[in-house]
Amino acid sequence: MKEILEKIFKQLDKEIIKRESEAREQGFNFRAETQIKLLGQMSLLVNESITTLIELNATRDVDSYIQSEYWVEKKFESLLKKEGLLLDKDRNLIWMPEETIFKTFFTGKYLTVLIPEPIYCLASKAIKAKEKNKQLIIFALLEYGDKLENLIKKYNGELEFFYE
Amino acid sequence: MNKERLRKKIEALEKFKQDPRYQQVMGFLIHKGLLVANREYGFENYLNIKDALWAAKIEARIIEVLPAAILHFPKSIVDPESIPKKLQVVLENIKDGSKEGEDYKGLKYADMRKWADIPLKDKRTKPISRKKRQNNFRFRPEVLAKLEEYSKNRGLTKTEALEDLVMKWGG
Repeated sequence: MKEILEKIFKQLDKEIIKRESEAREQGFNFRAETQIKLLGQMSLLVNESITTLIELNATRDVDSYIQSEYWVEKKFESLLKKEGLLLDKDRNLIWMPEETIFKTFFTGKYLTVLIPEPIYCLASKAIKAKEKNKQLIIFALLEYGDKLENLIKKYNGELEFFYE
Repeated sequence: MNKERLRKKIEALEKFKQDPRYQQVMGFLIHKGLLVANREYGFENYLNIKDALWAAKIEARIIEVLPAAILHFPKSIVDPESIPKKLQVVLENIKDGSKEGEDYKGLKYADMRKWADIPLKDKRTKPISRKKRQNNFRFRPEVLAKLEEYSKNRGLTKTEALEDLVMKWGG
């Protein structure tokens, strides 16, 4: 999945460059600078710091915060579709802890893609989708220990649920 | 943090995941492009509904894509009689193109429906909203004759000709 998403982001950056060039030639406005924050299970699947530790399963939807022109968002959606992936329509409803640290996953000429440090994504899942992610959080609690537990407690997550 | 309790739970989960039923269900769903994972699973081209429902006890995402698996790969389902009634209702709603439907085992209808409608890597499958459905009609002989003539003149099958006429209606 890491390779697939890297390929998509490379292609997206190329499309943005082309569009920017067209905008200059034809004189229409186009803001090329784009930031995508990849969230959810896909952000874990591309992160080697967790994929080597924990088994991860995912459906083929991609959650993200996108700061870009609408054209870029539609282009991203169509590139994902070509690889059998869906841009999640509810992606703007995703909640992340306020202290979430992001690191760079991809940098192109205009496109930057960030992913959260896994512990914040895991806390989000433990608090907002605990039933669906019970198995994952149990493994993650053993791996990340008190730090993850404290994050879940901080945001009033039901920690005991994972011990049942 | 009770590490001992966690270790015991993980031991139970690992045992569950070693079960060939779990492995086979996951292998099928991943191979068919409905799920992704960061580990390899073997693949055999069948799906046992009972096993899928059992495996979903630890992986809820199986339920999320199960309707899509049943609708796209009906010939791979070895025990269609095991499809629970509530899941049958979900399947019927998806087939009818209903935007609203009942959730199932905590999974939202909308989420189950969307997986039935994405193009899969098996190009023989079609998104459900694009699948054709059978309907039988009886026409008077003169109507059939006209339909034959209409379709011949346009190089269409009779089905295509009817589709063409219906879609043109209303502009």
